[in-house]
Amino acid sequence: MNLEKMKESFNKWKSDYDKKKAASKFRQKKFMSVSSYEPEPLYTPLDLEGFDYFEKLGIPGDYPFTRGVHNTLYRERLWTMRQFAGFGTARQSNERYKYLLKNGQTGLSVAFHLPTLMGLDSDNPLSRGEIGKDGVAIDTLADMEILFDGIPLDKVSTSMTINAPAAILLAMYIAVAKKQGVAPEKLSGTIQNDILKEYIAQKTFIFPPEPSIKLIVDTIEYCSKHLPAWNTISISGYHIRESGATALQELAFTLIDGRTYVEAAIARGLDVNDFASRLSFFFNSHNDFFEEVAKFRAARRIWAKLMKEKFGASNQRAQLMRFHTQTAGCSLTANQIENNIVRVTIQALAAVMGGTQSLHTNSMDEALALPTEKAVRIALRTQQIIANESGAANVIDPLGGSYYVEKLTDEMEKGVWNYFDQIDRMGGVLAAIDKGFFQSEIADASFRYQREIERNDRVIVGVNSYCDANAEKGGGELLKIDEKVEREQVAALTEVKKKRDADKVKASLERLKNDAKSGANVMYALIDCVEAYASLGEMCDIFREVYGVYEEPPMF
Amino acid sequence: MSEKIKVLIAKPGLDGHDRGAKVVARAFRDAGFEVIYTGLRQTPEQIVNAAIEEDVDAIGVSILSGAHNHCFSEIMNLLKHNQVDDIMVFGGGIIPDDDVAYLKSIGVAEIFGPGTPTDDTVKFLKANVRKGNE
Amino acid sequence: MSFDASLLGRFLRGEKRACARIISIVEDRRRGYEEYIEALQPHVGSAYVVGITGPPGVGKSTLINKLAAEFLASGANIGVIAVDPSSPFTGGAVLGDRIRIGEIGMNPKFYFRSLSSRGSLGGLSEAAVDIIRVLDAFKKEVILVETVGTGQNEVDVMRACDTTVVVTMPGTGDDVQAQKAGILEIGNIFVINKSDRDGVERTLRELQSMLMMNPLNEKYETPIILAKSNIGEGISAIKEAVDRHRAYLESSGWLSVKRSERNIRAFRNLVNSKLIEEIGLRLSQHNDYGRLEEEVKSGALSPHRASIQIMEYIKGKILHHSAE
Repeated sequence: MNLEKMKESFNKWKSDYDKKKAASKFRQKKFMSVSSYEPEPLYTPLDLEGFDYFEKLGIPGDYPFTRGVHNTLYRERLWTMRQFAGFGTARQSNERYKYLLKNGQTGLSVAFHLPTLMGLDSDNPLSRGEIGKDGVAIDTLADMEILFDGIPLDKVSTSMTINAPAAILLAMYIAVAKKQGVAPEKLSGTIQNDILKEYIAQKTFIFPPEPSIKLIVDTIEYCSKHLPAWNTISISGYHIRESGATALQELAFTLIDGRTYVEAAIARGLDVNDFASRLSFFFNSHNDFFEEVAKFRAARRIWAKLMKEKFGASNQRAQLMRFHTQTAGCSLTANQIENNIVRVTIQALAAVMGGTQSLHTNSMDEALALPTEKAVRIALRTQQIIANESGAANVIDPLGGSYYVEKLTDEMEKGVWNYFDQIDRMGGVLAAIDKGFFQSEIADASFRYQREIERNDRVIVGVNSYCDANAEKGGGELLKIDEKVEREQVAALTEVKKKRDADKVKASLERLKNDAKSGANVMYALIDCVEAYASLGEMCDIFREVYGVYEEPPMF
Repeated sequence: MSEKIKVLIAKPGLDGHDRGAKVVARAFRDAGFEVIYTGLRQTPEQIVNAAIEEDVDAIGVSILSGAHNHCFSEIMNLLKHNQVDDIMVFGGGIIPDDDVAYLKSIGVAEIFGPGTPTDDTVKFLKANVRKGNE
Repeated sequence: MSFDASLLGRFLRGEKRACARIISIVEDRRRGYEEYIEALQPHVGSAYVVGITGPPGVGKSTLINKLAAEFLASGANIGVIAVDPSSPFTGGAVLGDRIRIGEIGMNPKFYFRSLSSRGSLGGLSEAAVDIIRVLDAFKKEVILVETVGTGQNEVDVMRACDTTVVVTMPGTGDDVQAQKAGILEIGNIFVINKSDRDGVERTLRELQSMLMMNPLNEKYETPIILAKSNIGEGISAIKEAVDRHRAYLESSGWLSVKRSERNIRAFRNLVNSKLIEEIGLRLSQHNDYGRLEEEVKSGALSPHRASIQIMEYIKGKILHHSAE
């Protein structure tokens, strides 16, 4: 390409563009991404001067994996269609899982209700009003058995969104599989198990940071030995984004959390070439199509560099980043909810073009309630249409080489390293959490975003523009959780507590306490506890006693 | 000295999603209100106690976990029981229209769902808060 | 709006809402607030006031609530006033100190009130003093007052306290330096919180040398306590130090000296602010005042010359002095 000619052409275009901009009114004052990033109107080869294909991109499946982690990607196997689901009792969720599997979903993803996330049993007074409302109620192994009744755990992989009590739910899953006759080595799936983002964004923390990280390393260590196909952690940016972060913040904070976990596992003496291949990630996919694609590509490149250069990982599987994506819940509107189907489609397409390994698409009614069967079916069909009708799945990294996307990927990467420096100067992730750094960055970003909407600098269709007072407000039919779920669950728990062997429970909880106190790996004691039908609350109370309870710094 | 509108912003129940509550808190501050933020995971008793001690004009309840019917009714009952039901109660979060109707029937003044401009909430409070001058 | 005797009655019977309402009336300086202060005067005198200050992020909130719990455990009736800055532009504020309260919040002997620092007019310390008075009349035996120690306002609030606790933490020397604006001189007890952090010895040494250079009038050896408020370590030591300081002040007679100085300061501050308010009001009502301000704005008249003109007017018209 003739560089001089390019420069001349570009400058001519630029001066013409600037003239037009000064003379007429463009349709918006600013053109910004969802993250308030302002791209140029045009990208050309000039933006990629000196671009080294092998340094920046590589072949898919090769370091630095910018273009993807497989060299066949979706031609060999589509991403896993994994819809997050769970509500009411284990029986009700079991039915929803069977419905989803029947409709072509290829993996399960379990949503637990808030009491479970917070380590509380359904009969705890703090759980009143919350039972089964936003996830499935799981108190003991008995509930888990019902949840997976008729679902072969050697054939279906399961992702469980659980953090503070993740080790406990993993123990329950292993115990259910055991009862089904499935050996631990056959189990495939993920526990989210990412406590750092809880302190930053989702706030379902229980114990303080240091013991929580210890629990995470316990699970990593245990799975290294017994569950080689299990993803021990899903290092998450989704929630960070949902709480108001920009795409760059989502990326930077997630990656630095990941780095912290790797450091902790290495400190325990674990081999990075072994455990790192079972770390996985979880990202958000929001409305700005190109920003998201760039983010996914930058993520892979940065992680690969980190693993290879900082941690010396030589095994390719330990260098490459696999991730699950969920379309952005915070982008859904409560007005004209059919529009959300369109938003989800764009977001899902970005995830596919970004090379995700598995994908959850939100349902249109989720700004109002948990999804109905019809809404979730449409969400699943969205993925299936993209996979089969759009051609997006037929070429690996189809946007690779786009001047815009490559430039944006580079910018994201730079921004991430800057954030790393800033956080390191503060003393690292735990120190930054303590200082409220992440929380204040996020609060600032979310406030700015809201202001942009209210000043009409940012258009949200159906919310501050194209509104229609006559449009049906909300969905006709919404999912309602029956109040009797609470009564049923509490009754079921009481039954389990009556029927179980009280001595066995007591002994197993004692063992758990001793192991926790001595610093031993608690997974073994937990499996004993769950098999004795100790309840989640009972086990978490032991941890609360030994590890203490976390209080977040007051921060706006 | 002019009397500021004083609002308690509360997160009841186990829900940890505080993005909306914090954005609204800032918007209120920018509008000149005095906001007391309770922090996460408050019981209805703690919320009402705080409202009384701080002598607030209104309580804003943010709840996204589906437990709104239970939480709001507990709060309304406690306000009545403590004879402070002149404090206005409003809310936001993930609350379907049917439930909004129920909540209004038990005395909740307004629910501001996802997408509500913060200015609307500010205007509503300015128009409807009764300054309890004794 | 006038004085409501029934409100006072409910207050005296211990009704929390009435106390909250009177605090609001006093805090906002609503019309007639002085009558309430007068009415409460006979009931005042049982409270001991402990101020807690320090830069943001040192863990004051956690510390103050654990300290309150210690006092509650000893049977005392406790009040806490927590001051947060308000926006200098809008006057609004987000007050987040209640986040730390925890279980003691529901103890009937515990009362927590947030207070915003309401801009730069110095109204903060006056408001705080009067709120302390109200809580005192409400039979609070110990009142803890928390501020963020960064400015003159906060120093003034600490002067309204009997014992002042200054909290810092290990880390950059800046934290200790930043408190030099008066706080070090009025601190009676120093706490190094988060004392498991790196740099604690250095912070301790810096504090010790600073204290040696600033001998306090009271000839009292100022303790430096190491604490970890998140796990409750050091809290009882702080309470003991407060008790000891109180005993010292009482036995040496310094307590009454402090309190009388406080009354004088309050009196002078009130006179000052009332003067400014009263005269300011009269000035602004005068026809020429606006014109004068315009001239100052445009630079036609210097602020100094303009102020001389105002003073002559005040002396002549308002104070009935001759223009000379």
